[in-house]
Amino acid sequence: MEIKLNGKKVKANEGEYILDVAQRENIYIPTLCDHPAVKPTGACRMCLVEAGVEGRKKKIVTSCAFHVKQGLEVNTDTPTIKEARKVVMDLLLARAPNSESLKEMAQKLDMETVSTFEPVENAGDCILCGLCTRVCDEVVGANAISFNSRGADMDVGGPLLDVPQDCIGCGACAYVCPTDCIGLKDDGEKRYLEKWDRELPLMKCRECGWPFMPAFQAIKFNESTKVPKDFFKLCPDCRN
Amino acid sequence: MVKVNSPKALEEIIQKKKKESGKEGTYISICGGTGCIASGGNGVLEAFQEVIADDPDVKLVRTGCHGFCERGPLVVIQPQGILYQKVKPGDAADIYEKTIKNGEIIKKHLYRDQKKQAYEKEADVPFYKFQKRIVFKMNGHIDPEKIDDYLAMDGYSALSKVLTSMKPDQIIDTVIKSGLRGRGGGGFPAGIKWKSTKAATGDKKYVLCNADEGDPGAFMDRSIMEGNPHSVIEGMLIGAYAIGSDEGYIYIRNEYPLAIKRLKVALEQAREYGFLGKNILGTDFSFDIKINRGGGAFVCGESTALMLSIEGKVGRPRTKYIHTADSGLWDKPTNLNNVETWANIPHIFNKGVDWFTSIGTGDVSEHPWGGSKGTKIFSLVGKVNNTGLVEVPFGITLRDIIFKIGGGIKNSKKGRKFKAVQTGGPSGGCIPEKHLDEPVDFDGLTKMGSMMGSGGMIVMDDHTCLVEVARYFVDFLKDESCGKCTPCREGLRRMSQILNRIVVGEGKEGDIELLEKLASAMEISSLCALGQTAAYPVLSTIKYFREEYERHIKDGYCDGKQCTELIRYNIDEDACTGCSICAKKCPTKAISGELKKTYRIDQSECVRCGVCFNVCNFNAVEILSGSEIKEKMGE
Repeated sequence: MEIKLNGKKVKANEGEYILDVAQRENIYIPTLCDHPAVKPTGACRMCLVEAGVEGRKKKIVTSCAFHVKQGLEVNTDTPTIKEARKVVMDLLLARAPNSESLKEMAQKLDMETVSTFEPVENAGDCILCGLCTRVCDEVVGANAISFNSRGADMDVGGPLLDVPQDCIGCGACAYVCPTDCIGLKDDGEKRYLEKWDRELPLMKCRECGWPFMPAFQAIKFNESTKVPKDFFKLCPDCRN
Repeated sequence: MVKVNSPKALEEIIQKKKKESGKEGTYISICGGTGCIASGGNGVLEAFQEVIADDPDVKLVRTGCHGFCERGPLVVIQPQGILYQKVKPGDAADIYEKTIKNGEIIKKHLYRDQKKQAYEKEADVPFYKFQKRIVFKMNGHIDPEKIDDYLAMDGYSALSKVLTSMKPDQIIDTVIKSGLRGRGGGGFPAGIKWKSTKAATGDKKYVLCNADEGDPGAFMDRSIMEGNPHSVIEGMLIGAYAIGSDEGYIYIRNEYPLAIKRLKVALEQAREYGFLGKNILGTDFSFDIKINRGGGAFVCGESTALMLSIEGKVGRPRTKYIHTADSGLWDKPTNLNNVETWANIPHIFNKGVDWFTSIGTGDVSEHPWGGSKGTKIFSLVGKVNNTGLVEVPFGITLRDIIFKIGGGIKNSKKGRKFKAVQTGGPSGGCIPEKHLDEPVDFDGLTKMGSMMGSGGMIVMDDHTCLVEVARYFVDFLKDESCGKCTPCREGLRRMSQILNRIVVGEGKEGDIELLEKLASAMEISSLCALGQTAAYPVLSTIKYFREEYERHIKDGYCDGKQCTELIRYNIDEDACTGCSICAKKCPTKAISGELKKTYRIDQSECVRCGVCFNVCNFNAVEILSGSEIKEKMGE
């Protein structure tokens, strides 16, 4: 099918989201809570665009979660959109004043990299985008962390904000976190995830002795990936 | 109980129940709604049960809510329709002897208006006289826990009519033509929703009832369920038949124990008669309803959050680019309507589209958005003389609701005046006096910068601070936001901070503009309607009362004399007669003085509760704010 992106006709495929097409066409849409490994959620609200089928009134939608359809016209940088994104970014910067990626994104949006609001107390640079919880659920299947409470009190962590006992220490959360606020540290024979206050022993490679993977992760991944039983006994280097 | 397995059997049982009901003779209707029970209604009921125990000619009906909760417990003597208010158990014998046996009116139990005029009949009391009760019509007459009472008033005859004489498409067409719009807040035409759900692909479809009534002060849905649960069930049955669904849920908040109990009883009785279950009235149509209790989150009234909550998940709204009509509960096509919407359905089929469209505003012959048809129940609360639930036709003016039905502003003799009316719940707006004569309907309220919402209506007098009102609602929503999307969660956090500093006199230059900027971003970028409308209380108060915000910020002056940090209570020595009542009532003993001379308030002890102001009979207590404090008190 064909859609119009900022006035230009482009090809799009059934089932794609607006954001997918824009990224392929090198049209910049800022986004924080989207990741190809998980389903879209539309939480951060940075990827807003104006979209509508030709001839009908355009609506403001999140491009990460809006499917393309024949005749769709999308504008990614109208003054309304730009202004809304700036307000959203300003609010997020107050949660994550130390995040380099947010500052970079703010620069691209042509705005200050310091929030006009005072920092949110105890936010710890987390913008509550939910990528960590979704990847833990949808990809890893551990479901160790989730959102707690609601509204302005919302936070993310283990059940009742206690240490997540189901965390296998795989580090997928830290890998996808857009503000790098989880704090994964491998220290000798232990792995520590600072945000969750979770410490796990690392299993050593049978060949070279490198402590490369938490045992819980090996068990879980063995189950879910159906690799040979001994697969995780070796570190990635010794496997080849 | 015999199963009613054909339309003919239903007709027979309706006639039988009419004869058995005894409603031709004298009956005493005692309100058994939550409001009247709270004010002692159960005791009144028991007292009457005892008093009439030996009189077979008099019947007692424990009914649902009559709406005039403030005056409860309410007792109505039928068929004359005599209304007695604030009845106590000890009054039962007297009422039976005098009124029921001898036809004598007991004046002290009658309702009196502000001019002390007494009214004998319920229908003449201004609170009722200017209403148009359709959905609430049966509330004062039937026992909600007796399906026979509902049957005796032609209950389930609309269901029988559609099952025997109408095709699903005709039913949907009728609902579209009636112009019925959703009473829960959105105002979306119910028939269009039904049509989409019917057209959606899938064998399994759900029909839901949204009974998660969460707006502060709104309780019309509760009263419908407590007073006439079968009307909701019948509405859902008709909807389910038209849409092609065999399973329904009523999602009701757990804070409504009486409504849950009565719904359960009603569902059980409907099943016994065969109105729910397999092969209803002997047709191929099967449908049943389950009750799902909500855990108390305001946001679960939002459709997608409600569905997730039924599934046992956290109630956080999702994007609705794929409509719930196509993929809702458990990803199946789902139709959700509010309690009041469902309760309207049987009336539309019993009395017809022409009758329904004759009530209300606009023209819906082209499309249902063309107007607002039928009635709407508002919960009229705040600074009016008569508070309670009022059912009015669309098109009535705000002035008629507040001054005719509501009896005007409370304490108007003390100089209190109308200032604004807040409609539509926490996301609604405040409407000033200049719009009082405009008709109330879906589009009218939106034009005035507010909304219909679920029908909350809070009247405010000149001793109300609109900045404080906005702060209250923003703080409510800040706590009730699900927290998922940035603009709602963080925007409300910031709005709350700004408003909380303005009401204590620490507002900054630019705060109003900042509120406006946040409001506009939240409106366009929030995920669900909670966030999109959360800023309305702020926007509407800034729109109509901007100067009050400015005075708070620049002069530390509160127009409503309500923001405790910005006001001082002071006793005018010239007006004070030294009666000492203020000193006696002051909870912190901050007032001292000498009898028959004058009294003074120790500001360091005063907590600014306003008791002295309310009890003074000589208008000697004044409330000062801003520069007045310095001028009069030298502070």
